[in-house]
Amino acid sequence: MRKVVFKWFSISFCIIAALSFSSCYYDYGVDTSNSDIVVTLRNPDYNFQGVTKYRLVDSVVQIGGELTHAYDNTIISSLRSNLNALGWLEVQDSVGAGIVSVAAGITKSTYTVSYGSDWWYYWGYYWYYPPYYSYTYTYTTGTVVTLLTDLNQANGGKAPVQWSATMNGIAEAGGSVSARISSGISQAFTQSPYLK
Amino acid sequence: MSKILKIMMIVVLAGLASDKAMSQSYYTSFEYSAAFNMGKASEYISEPGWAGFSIAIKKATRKNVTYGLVLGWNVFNKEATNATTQINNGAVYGSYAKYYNYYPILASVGYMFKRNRAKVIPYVQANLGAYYIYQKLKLGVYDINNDNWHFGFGPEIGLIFPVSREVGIVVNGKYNYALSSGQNLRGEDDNSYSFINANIGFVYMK
Repeated sequence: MRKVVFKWFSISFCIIAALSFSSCYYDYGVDTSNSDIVVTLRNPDYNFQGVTKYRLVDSVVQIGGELTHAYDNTIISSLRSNLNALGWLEVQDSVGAGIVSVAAGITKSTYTVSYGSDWWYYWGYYWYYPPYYSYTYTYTTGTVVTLLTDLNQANGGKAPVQWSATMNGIAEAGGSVSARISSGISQAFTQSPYLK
Repeated sequence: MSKILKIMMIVVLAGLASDKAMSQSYYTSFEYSAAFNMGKASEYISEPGWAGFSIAIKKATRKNVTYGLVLGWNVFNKEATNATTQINNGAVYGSYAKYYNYYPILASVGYMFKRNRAKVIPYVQANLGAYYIYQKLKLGVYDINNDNWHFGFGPEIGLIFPVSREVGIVVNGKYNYALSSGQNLRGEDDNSYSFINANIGFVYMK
C-alpha cells in the first residue's frame, strides 16, 4: 500500500514541480499596447479646492532628447479639455486669486538593447564569439510631462510645482501615438480626483 | 573468564554493528517548496510563491541530533495590466510585474524524535545562515532591480514517512526571518523579510 501511495506521490510531485516552474517568471512583454505608464504626484499641503482658473502655456517645451513638435496640438488640446472638465476657467493671467499655471514638455529617447554580445555572458562558449544567438533591438520612448504651478506662491522667481503628471511609453508608428498621449493625459486627471 | 569476556565483547560489537547497519545516518531531501510572505514583504507581494524547491542534507548522531545544510529557492511574482497603484502623494498607472527571489543558504541543527523502523519520524530543527534576496519591478519599459545578502534564521518542524529503508516522503514547514540589510526597492532602510515555507518531497536515507 505504501509503495502504491509513493508511486502516485512521485508522479504528482513531478507534475506539480514542472507546472510551478513553468509559470515561474511571467513576462508580459513590452509593446505599444502595454508600455504606457502615467505617474502623478501632488503637494499634499496644497489646497486644490481653491483653484478656479488656469492659464495654459500654449507651447510645448522640448526637453532635450530628439525634438519633435508632432504632438504639440494633441497635448495642448487634451490638457485644455481635461482642465475644463474640472470646472476651471481658462484665463490669460498667470497671477490672481484661484489661478494656476499649467505647462507641458515632451522628450523622445531611443534605446538599443543587445543580448548575448558579451563573451562572458556565454562563458562556456566563448569560442563562438560573437554568440550565434545574440540579438539586438531598438525602441524609442516618449515622455510627456505636465506641471501645475501656483505663481501666487512664487518666491525668488521660482514657483513650486503643486501637481505633476508624467506619461511615458513606446513612441513608434503603429501604436497611434497621438491617441495614446491623449488617453494618458486623461488618465492623469482620472487618477487625481483631488483636483476637482 | 577471559573467554566469557571475549564472547560478551563480540556480542556487544555485533549488536552495535547491526544497530548501525539498521539506522540511517544521512538524510538528503529534495523538496517542492511553496512560500508565503509575511510582514513588509507581503505589502509588495501578498500572493503565495508557488514556485520553489529546497535541498537539505543532514547527518544524525546516535543521540538523534542532526546537523546539516539547507539550500533553497523561492519565487514570488505578481503582475497586472493597466492597473492604478497608489503611492505616497500620488499614483502610478500602467502594466507592471513584481518579483521576489529568495535563496536561503542555511546551516541546520535539529532533533529527530524517532528513527529506526519508525513509521513516522517527527523532527524539529533550527536553521541559521544567509539569505540572498533579489527584488525586481518591471514597470512599462523599465526594469528596476535590487538585491542584498541578509543574515537570517528560523525554526522548522517536519515529518518523515519512510517508504522503504532508504527512501521516504518528507513534509515540513519553516519560518524564515531575514534581518534588514541594505535598502529595499523604495530606498527604505527597513529591508527585513519574513516568510513561511511549506515543503513536500523525497528523502533518501543512508
